[in-house]
Amino acid sequence: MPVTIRRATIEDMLCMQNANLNNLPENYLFKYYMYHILSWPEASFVATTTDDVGGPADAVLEELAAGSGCRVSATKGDPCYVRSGEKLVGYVLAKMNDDPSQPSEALTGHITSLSVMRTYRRMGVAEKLMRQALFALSEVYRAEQVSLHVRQSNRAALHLYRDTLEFEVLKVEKSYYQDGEDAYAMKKTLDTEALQPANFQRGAEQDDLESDLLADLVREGVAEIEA
Amino acid sequence: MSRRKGALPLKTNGSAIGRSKEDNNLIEALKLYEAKTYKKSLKLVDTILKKNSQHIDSLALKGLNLYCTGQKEDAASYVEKAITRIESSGASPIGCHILGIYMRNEKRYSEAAKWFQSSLDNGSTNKQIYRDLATLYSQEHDYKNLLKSRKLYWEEFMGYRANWTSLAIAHELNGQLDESANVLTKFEELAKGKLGESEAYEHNECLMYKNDVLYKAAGVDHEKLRAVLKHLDEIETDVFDKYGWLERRAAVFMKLNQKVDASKVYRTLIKRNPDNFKYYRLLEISLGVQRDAKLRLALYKKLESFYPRAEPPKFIPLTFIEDDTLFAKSLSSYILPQLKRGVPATFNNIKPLYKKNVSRYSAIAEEIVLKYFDSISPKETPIPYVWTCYFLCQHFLYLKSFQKAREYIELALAHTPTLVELYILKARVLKHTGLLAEAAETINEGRKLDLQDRFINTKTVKYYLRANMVEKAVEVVSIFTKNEGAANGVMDLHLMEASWFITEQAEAYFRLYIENKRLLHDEKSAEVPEDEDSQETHARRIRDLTYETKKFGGLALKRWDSISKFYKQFEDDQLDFHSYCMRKGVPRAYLEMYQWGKTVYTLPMFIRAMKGAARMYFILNDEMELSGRETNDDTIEEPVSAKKGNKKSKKEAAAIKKRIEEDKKTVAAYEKDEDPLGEAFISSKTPLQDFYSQFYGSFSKEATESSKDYILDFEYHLRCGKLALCVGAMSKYAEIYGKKDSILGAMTLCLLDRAKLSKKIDEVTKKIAIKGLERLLPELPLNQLDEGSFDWLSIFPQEFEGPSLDALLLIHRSTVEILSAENIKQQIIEKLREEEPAIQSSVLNYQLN
Repeated sequence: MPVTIRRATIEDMLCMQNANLNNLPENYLFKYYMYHILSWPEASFVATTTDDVGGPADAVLEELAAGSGCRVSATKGDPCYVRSGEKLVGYVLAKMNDDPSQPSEALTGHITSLSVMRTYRRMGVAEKLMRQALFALSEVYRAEQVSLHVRQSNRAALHLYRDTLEFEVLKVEKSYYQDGEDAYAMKKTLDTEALQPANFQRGAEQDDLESDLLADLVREGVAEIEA
Repeated sequence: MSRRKGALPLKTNGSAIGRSKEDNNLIEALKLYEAKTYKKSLKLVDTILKKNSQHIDSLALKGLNLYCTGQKEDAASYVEKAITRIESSGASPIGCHILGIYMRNEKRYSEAAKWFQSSLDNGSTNKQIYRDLATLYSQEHDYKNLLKSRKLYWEEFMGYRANWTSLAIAHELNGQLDESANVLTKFEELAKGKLGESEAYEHNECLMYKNDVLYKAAGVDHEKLRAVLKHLDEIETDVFDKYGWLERRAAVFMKLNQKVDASKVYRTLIKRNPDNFKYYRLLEISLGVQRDAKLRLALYKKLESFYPRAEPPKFIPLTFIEDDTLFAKSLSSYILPQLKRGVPATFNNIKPLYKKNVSRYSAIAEEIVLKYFDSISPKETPIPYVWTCYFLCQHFLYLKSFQKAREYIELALAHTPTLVELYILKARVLKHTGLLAEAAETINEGRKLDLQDRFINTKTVKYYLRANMVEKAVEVVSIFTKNEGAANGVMDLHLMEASWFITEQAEAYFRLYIENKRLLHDEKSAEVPEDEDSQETHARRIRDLTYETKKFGGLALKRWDSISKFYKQFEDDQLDFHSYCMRKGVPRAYLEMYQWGKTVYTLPMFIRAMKGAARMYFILNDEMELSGRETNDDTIEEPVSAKKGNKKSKKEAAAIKKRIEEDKKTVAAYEKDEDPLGEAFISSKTPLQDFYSQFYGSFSKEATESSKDYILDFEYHLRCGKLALCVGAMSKYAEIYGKKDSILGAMTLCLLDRAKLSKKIDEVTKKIAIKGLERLLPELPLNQLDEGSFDWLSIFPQEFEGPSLDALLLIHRSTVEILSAENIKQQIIEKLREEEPAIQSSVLNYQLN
């Protein structure tokens, strides 16, 4: 199946660490991921494929490469797999600012890391992950604003944050990254109501959540809809 | 989240006046230890010990200080001395406490708990020890003692919510759900109206936790479930975790069979996250539309109009539309917009359909996409053109039409040679056709097009490793690692717990080990040449190959061991959270971690490393058995010494030494490592025990009936000579895969072989095993066991299916001498004809020697 978006759990953390190591130069020890999910359990999200176990040929090849017998074990011995048929292809790792050296008047959320596997790009996965994380930071943690850093050369990310998600660039931080590259420090003010993910669906109609869906469907005529 | 490790009881029993000088000095030394000035503390302890070399507390503190300054061996000996003295002359609370801290540092948690407990038993009044104890009992999953210590601590410090929460959790872990809920309720009553805004989040988590407990306790009891619902209503305004709250509400409605109510909650959840497949599936169930295809489709159309940018309402209908025409129409409107946009995962998105029914879905998809392909022009619509080629290549690759797959990817590459994804896919096609080196070079071309992207870097490294090109892989991977003070990125990848790389590298080393061993064998069995020069070349080659074989084998085991160490670390990483999560007020997340923590040694990457290491250790074991001697006595340092005194050989020896030193630098995984090449692993005289202590022991402890690997279990016990346990594994295996399964047949033959021919297994063991086998498989011609001429392979296909390739390979690697090895080999080669090239070459190169 294609990509599903859901809240992250401790079971996703090893795969998240793996995706981070695969995609980005800024890496963290596993304990740092544990620290996130155990300090702000509702703030991080993952994109996973569901039921996509790959072709049988792929599975056999993986097993052979692993040097074991030919039989396919329950979960593929591939660091992307959370469980059988569920591969992690993107994540957003988020937190609240808890750095005592940076006391801030306003409650501030922070995006520690976001990435999507290259072969799953151009489906809006990063945007969907971010929308959930921003909504959660605001709703659950009462964050009034959220901050993040982005590499100056990362045009795709900059586009997502600035144009799609409407972050503002606060300043350029010189040599923020280990390799000497500068970072844009970005910020967005949060408003829970405005962040409702359904607001960004641009649906022709809205689910009122109360009416009898099935009765409506029958009234509108099932056959007609099908055609 | 720093935690003060080991706060010591600076106030010992009695007042300062009545204390001896020794004790006073010890207090001073403890203060110095607390301040982390270990060396000063050591100095002071030494002055005490100079006067009284048997002063227990000082011996213990000296051990602890030595430990903290990295002198672990000396530390152990002082701790040993302290313990011996305690055994003869009793203990002081302070000494026990110090020993507890030492043991905790050493990660010997159950011993640490024992010493902390002794400290209390010997009169320590330091109540903080209860919390330390609780942490240790949590880590050790000792629920009974956990509850005791949590309770005692709670009684002392009732003013902290953390202590109520921890007590509730301890009750739950002991199955006392009502007690758990009561503790939580009592605190809520006490705190009513007194909670500030900064505590609101913790309050929300604890309220939802109580609802968890009530829900668990309710089971299917409707009255209790209604109480859970009522509780949800009561806490609604205080709960910020709306996902948790709504999901619980829906679940209770479903259990109460109030499906319409449940459906409304699922609609609310979908509105919050329209991209979660699970909510849509649950909505279907709550609406009861699964059997009515028309209504079901209409529902998804409706949902799509609510959420046009969401994936599930577009995709899910494809999984149930029966009518081919309608399906083709829907599939077309699912695939084509993605191809037009250039979505790389278009094929992956529909791959599960192929898995479900390859002939139906692949035919329809092929027709749609080929037709579309004919309608577009590479010049006018370049993006759809190239991504359609990309799709078709994946489609044909899935169908194993390698030629066609190749054609489409070449078309795409000729059109847009700057697109990285195309190189990744071409490399995959080449990999499937067995061209591993070409695949690696191809993907490397793609990497050069985007040097900033780590994803393509990672992929390239993986392909180089699959092609056994380790040096090239290390060179490329090191572009993104931190390499200060190291020859390359290998050390950084170990530091950052990069399992993917270390596992792939271990497997590459293992393959190189097999290759070099074969070359060595060939060289050794070649005729010794007559003239001196050729003799020397021959000898040098043997020496080189001996070195390489051992090096690669050692490195493979070394890397797998690193994976085992990571998982040990992940287990230990939990320690701090047993009290951190209580303070933070996140009982639900904590319990999830706690359950997860009990399964770390059954996670996929640990299992992959375990299986790899098993192959290597089994080979080492089997070689030892076969040669009847303890092999591998020659160390790497001195491979086959040449004629002594010879100038040339001296020069050669120097060259070898230099090469070994260089090797040690380039493969180094840890900063201070006395054995970077893994010599200790490869030279082991106890491969099976090593396998057990690094992998199998931890795995077996955590594996459940369903997550256990019975083939591995069988192979391990076969080599240990524990035939009864082999039969046990077989019967579990048969429960899952049936009594006709081909692998079961292979296991039977392995077992009969040992029962008939093994000299190291005693007769009683053999008889018990045969009896067990008879009970498991009564139809077996066991009366033939004493005959010499029976063709045991004939139990296939009479008693078992096959033999399959897997079954034959199992027999092959188990050296079954009641069968002709040559015959088995021939059958394997025969079977391989049905497999794709990549599998053929993998089996031929790495499993058939």
